[in-house]
Amino acid sequence: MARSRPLGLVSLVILSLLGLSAALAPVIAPYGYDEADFLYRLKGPSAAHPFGTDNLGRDLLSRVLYGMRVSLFIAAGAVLLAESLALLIAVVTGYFGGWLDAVVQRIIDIWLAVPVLVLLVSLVGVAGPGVRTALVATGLLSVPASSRLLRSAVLGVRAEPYVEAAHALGASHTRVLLIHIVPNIAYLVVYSSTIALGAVMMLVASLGFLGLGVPPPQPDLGGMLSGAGLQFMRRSPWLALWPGLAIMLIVFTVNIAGDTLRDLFDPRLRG
Amino acid sequence: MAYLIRRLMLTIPTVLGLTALVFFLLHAVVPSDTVDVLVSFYGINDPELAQQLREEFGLTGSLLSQYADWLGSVLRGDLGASLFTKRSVLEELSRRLPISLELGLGAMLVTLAVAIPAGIISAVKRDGPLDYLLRGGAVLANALPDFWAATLVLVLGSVWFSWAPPLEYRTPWEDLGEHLRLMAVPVLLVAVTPAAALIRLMRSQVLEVLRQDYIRTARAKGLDARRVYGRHVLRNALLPVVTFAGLLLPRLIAGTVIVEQIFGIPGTGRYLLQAIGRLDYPVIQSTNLVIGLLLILVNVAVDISYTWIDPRIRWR
Repeated sequence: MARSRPLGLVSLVILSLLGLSAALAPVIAPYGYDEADFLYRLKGPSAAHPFGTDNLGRDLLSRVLYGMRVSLFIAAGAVLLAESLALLIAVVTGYFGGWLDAVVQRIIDIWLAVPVLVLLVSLVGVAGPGVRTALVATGLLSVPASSRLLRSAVLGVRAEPYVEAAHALGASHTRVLLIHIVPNIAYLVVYSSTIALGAVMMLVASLGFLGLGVPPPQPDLGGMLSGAGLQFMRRSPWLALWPGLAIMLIVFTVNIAGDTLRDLFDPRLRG
Repeated sequence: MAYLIRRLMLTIPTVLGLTALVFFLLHAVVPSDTVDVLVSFYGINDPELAQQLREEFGLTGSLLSQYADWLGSVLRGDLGASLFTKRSVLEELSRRLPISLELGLGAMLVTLAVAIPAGIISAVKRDGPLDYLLRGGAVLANALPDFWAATLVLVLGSVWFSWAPPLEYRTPWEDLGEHLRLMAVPVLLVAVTPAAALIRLMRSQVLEVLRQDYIRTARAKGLDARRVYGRHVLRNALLPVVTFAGLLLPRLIAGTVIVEQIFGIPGTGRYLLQAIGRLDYPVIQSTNLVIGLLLILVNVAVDISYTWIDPRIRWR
């Protein structure tokens, strides 16, 4: 993989480093996320504050690290939730079919017809912002697209001769599902997770930006860019620089990693 | 024609489901209601007044009857009025929806105008420097958060060029120049992400078509490049693009919500965000309904346009 897909490997490495530094934020961050130094406000990058400080004199590097921690935690949790639900729905409806499948697919049609951001904002705005709301809401909104993708794969696997053979040998539905269907679509679950992760990351950031992310003083990447800080950003553009770069780097590496995985699993899909 | 009617009939359950989804999410899942927001806003703690308000707002009966009431008035063409400003939702939307549509459709036009040629060039000059540039740009733009791009444009525009968008919205009839000065940049910003996605799609489609036998035939019988690309490649590569345009709409709507917020454009997105902030039920429900209807109709239009683009497809 290293030789044929250098960009994919580099992306995976960067992504792991970002994830690791986010997870270790309390250990490696030079300051606390709400440690204010009023004598040292809106300063540019320096040795003491590599990313500079914000309008309250808080260290931006530390805030970006903690912000990444929260945003990645929400995004990863949401993807885990979304993919588990999507897998469950896809396997059950795709394998058994019938009226259940028809009903669930119509519900998913409706779910897909709603503009995600609008629904998300409606949900989070009214349920009260916070880590849990953001995680559950973005997770639920990612279910339909993933379940569609997985269901189509289940339909494909169900028609394979080895599934027929298993039935002929008297295998139970549970056995066929667990031994034959699920392992054969596992690679798609990985791929659809990466698609969902990039999208959810963007949604979480948008939520934060609209003021519906994690309540202050705890930072999240989108919230750090939110409109309130705009007046300070004119004076100190680096305020706007780091959180945005962090979001972009994460989404970018996730997308590249996803493309790489897809190419490795299924070279026919290569774009 | 029969197909069209059937297709439109099929949208009815979808629309019903959509309204029910929004309604029950708002009323059943959310722990507080409009009256709570009002009461805490004015700092009054008077359960009697709160009860009175609930009755006045029609929030007392069972959820099902509330839903039926709301649906009934919508069917009679009454979208209700804001609980806060008392202004009719229909009136507000008829003023705001065109603004958002201008943003969204403008962005769609920019997307198509930029991405279709760019995608074709990228495919034709495959693995050339231009292809790498376009693909790299598209992948990067795909990861660019639209709200960050908008913020950067505002911040860097004012720092480097002392440029700032007008603070107040003017309709094109009042002052066309001011109107365009405010709308041009947001339109471009909304177009960035969709254009990035479409360039990639267009490129892979054209590459796929170029592999087909009929292209070799067309070349072999001596058609010049323009004929081959114009008549054979473009038409065959365009079908997924139409599907894409339908899928694009939710993204465009999300984009307009963001730029309306950042640039202070009085469109539908701002209206909805404000309504959500104070749980203004009629506004949230009716706006979601109108947006959803719009989406569904566009998808029907997309389905129908398939036959027009690709005569091989015939709907029963």
